[in-house]
Amino acid sequence: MSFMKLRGIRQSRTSARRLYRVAALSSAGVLAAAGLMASSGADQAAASAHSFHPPKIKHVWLFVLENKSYEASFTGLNQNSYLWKTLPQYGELLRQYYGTGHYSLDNYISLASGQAPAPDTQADCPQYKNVSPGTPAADGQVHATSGCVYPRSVQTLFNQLDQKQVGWKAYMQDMGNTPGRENPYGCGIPGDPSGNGVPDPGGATAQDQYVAKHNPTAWFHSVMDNPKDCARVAPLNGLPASAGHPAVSGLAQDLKSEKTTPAFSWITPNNCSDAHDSTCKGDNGSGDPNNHQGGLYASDLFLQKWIPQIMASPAFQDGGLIDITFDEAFPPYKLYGNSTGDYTGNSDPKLNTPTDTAQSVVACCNELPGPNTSQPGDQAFGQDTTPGGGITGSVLISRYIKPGTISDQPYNHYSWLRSMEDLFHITRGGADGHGHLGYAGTPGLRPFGPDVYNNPSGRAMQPAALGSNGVYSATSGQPQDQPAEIAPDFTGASAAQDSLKPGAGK
Amino acid sequence: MSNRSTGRGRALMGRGHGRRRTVSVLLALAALTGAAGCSENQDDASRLGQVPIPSAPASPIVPTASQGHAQLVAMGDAVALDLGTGQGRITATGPDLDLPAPSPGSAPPERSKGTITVRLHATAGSVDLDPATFALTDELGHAVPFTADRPSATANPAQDAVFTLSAVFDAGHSTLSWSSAGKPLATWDFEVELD
Repeated sequence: MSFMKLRGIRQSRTSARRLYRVAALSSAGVLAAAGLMASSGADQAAASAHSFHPPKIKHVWLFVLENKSYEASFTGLNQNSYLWKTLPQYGELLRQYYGTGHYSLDNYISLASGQAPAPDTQADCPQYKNVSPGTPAADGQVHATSGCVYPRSVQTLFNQLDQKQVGWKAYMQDMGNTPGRENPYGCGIPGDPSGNGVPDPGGATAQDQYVAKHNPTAWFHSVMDNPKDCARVAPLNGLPASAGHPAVSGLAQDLKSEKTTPAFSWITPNNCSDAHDSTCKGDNGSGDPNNHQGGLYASDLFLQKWIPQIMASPAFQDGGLIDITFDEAFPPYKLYGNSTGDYTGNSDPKLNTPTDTAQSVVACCNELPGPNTSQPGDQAFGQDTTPGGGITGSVLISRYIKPGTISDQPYNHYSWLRSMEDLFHITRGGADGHGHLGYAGTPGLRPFGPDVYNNPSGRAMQPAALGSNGVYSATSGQPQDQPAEIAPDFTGASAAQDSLKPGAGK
Repeated sequence: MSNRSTGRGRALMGRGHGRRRTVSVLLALAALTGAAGCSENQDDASRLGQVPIPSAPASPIVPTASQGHAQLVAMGDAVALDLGTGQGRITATGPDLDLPAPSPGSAPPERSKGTITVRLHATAGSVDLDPATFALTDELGHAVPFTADRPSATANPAQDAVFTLSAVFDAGHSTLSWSSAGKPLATWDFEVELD
């Protein structure tokens, strides 16, 4: 498959730049002629507040791993040294990146569409069936009293990329391994969601560790009903040609040239390699058939295999961005401090104590609960009655990011969606009319800014020295007390705007 | 003359010098445009340098534990042993959780039965393995009760010692520690996922 559609985005960027230059020159000329340069006051301030433009990133790869808190992944608790030590040396660690709910599926839904958690998505959809009633709600949300497959009216990032003619692909490890278990030519859906749907679509098997709940394309009729979109949802290693179906290329094959590399790639490892299963049902990528260890051990094996391949590709070297994140944070997340008003309704009384695993900060960025549940966090693990999926952290690698840096700017899955929409110049439609879907359109929500893209020249830099940025000093101090090279101090009502001003991240 | 008088449109379709000249001009223009395009569109790697790539470790590093020198590793990792009376390698894997199928409308369970497998391979001498020398601890520091499928065993180069430890695990972070003569030798970290 060719992804020359990228040309469209380049052309639109060129056109936009040209228009901007013309507009700027015209405005300057008119203002100078009228002697009014100082009179634009508030308008100029407003304009400069939004003047940050993300760098010319041409390709994005998103890895979504499973169920780990920042402490579990980035402080050495699990000795997962590739993700914990190696990769942050080459990019930036977001120490305040948050999930948006519990448990898994609602986070994938938020990432892809900006839809807030709903009861069945929080429960990982034990019955694969359509959302009901599916009627519109405020802020681009829909009412989803039950069910988890969203109606065609709910748009996703994938639809937005289609409309911009930007190439994308979603790689699902193991999808289609067991014929009939899920449809590898139909977005990996586990069956027909109409009526009573399909019971229990989750769960890995020894031969097929794909789980639909970690595939964001299988939950939206706007994607799964479109064969052209489903052709972009591929097993990680591709598929050979079969009766009625041409061969499907996998990630390694697509990386061989920039023309065959999509502008946006979503990568979901299987239920072993994404760190979900502690003991894998099948292969964990170690090469040892008797080794089924999962968790962060397995995800390190996966990342060790794929990150170097992606970074060696012509597409990555030509302005690529790798983003490694998690859907939600499971305990432990004690290092950010326990709450003084913990939830006390746990069935296990041991959790109803001031020293439990709860924390008061499990959401960020003014996350709203949405129309379908008052508790996006599901009060999981005895947490407080606040929304959110806890702090997971994220690692981003790009030539436009200084190696070994840290940002303590809070972000969540909605911020991520907004960041992608901005990166790909999606400016129309959405909940805010500016291209931001659902809660990605929340006023003031901050996309990745200069604290993330902190090497604007893009000049290649050597990796930071091991441990030079204090990332792994979990035993010597609280994370919030550790030094952050990039620690913007944006507070108050204008924080979102201030943080986007030129130079704000320096 | 006739060729010249054919005009541009016809020159492309015609024959002879006029067509050749027109084609040459177009090719030259294309070459110039192409060159300019190349310069403008030169990829980032050529203009800005190659981004260094983190390599995967060639082979896993196996730390060595000895009396008074314990090792902390991830569940699944091996620890080499140098215990004087014997040398070898010990590995813990798991937990293999016995999760029930999800039921509609219910949250994932908070705890689950599961098993951890410990395998000790001796490369020289013999090494004793007693389940009583293991400890399971949850993230709150509480001891997690467990049972072993056998009382004790001795590993030698001809025979591995293998135990299965069964327990009920809470979701979250846990550790398995192995001590010898009252001092820790190896600790495995792991996360229990129940969704």
